[in-house]
Amino acid sequence: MSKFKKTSPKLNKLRLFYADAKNRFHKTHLNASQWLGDRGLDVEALKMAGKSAITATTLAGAVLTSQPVDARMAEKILGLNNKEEKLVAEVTLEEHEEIMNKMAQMVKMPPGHLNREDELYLEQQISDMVGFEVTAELDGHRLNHSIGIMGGEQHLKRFPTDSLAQHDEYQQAGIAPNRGAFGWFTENGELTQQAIQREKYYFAVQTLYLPEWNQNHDELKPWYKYRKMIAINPADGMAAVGVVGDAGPAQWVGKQFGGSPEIIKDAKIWSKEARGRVILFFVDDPEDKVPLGIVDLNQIKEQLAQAEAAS
Amino acid sequence: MRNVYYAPLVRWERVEEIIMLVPEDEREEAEKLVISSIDHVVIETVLIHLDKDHHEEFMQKIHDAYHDPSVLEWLKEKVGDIEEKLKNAISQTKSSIIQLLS
Repeated sequence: MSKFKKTSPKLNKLRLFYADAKNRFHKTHLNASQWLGDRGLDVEALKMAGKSAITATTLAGAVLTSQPVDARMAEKILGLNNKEEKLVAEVTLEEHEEIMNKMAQMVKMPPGHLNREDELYLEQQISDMVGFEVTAELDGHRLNHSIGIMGGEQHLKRFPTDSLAQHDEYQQAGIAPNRGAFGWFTENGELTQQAIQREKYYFAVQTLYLPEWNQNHDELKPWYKYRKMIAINPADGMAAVGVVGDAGPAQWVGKQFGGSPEIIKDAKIWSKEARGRVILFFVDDPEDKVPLGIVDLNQIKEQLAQAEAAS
Repeated sequence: MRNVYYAPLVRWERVEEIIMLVPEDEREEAEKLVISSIDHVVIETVLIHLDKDHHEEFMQKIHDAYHDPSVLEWLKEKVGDIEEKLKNAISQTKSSIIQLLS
């Protein structure tokens, strides 16, 4: 029996990835590579070279500098490869489309949560696309669903005497007779621009069905009130950044989320392709920098296509 | 893991989750590979955007104190939007790794 443990395919892929990154650095930044070489260093050894650096385990250097045979072979193969190298940070149009297609498949799965691997993939890809961090779980909080069907909601009253006529868009959606679960949108009685935007781009989420809702209501309600979220409609390449503005829909409705009229219409949530299926994640925005509104993911595709045509 | 000059730019909990995608007994090596891949991409990105006249100074700085966040402050003085560029590069690297491991 062999005394050598077989390496998993995942670790082998990681080794190749690292070898590729290292090889590309050495080829594209010859001067920097030579600067290191003149000092008998490589990038890993830099961490241990500093005068005031905290001592790292020598195992780290040993693991990486004495690469397993397959990674060294991979370096040779990559070195002989005539394919034009690109920065790992550049996404091609093909890759973007592959990501969108994967998202479109994932969103068709039964409402709920994906496995952690797929979820991590989605979080990272979407964060890259939109330029801010999104996550299924934030501060230890997670809704019962992150993929599901979003129904159309009515406008919400922003203050006691608000009326449908005072909402400038999509009046055909109507206005709810009572105020939303999180109260009036006005701030100290004033209809601020922020209040207007929050009602325009609001989500209804099923906080009432969270297992811990009744016991921790006093902590959870303020946490969820106006919590920033993003709904992604991969079928149409649209997304909407909004806030939690209401609770619902009821479970018997058969949908997991609700969206304001502006979100439903402008993010094309109920197009023939989308049919209400969305991914809904939290936006990790402690400094409140991410604006509310619609994000057109197709623009990324157009930019990539233009960049590729120009190259 | 976080003892690097660009540490403020990385969402480390996500890096930890990436490492968790690999079998348990391989995670120590996986961590080194992921971090070192990010190390290379960061240096690469800096060298692309930093004026060539400052390259040697940059290499000396990271040689002397790879862990020191003041290197990042120095970079921000030299390249105004370097933080954004580095965050994007790091984020894309994590995405590529996640894609690879999924």
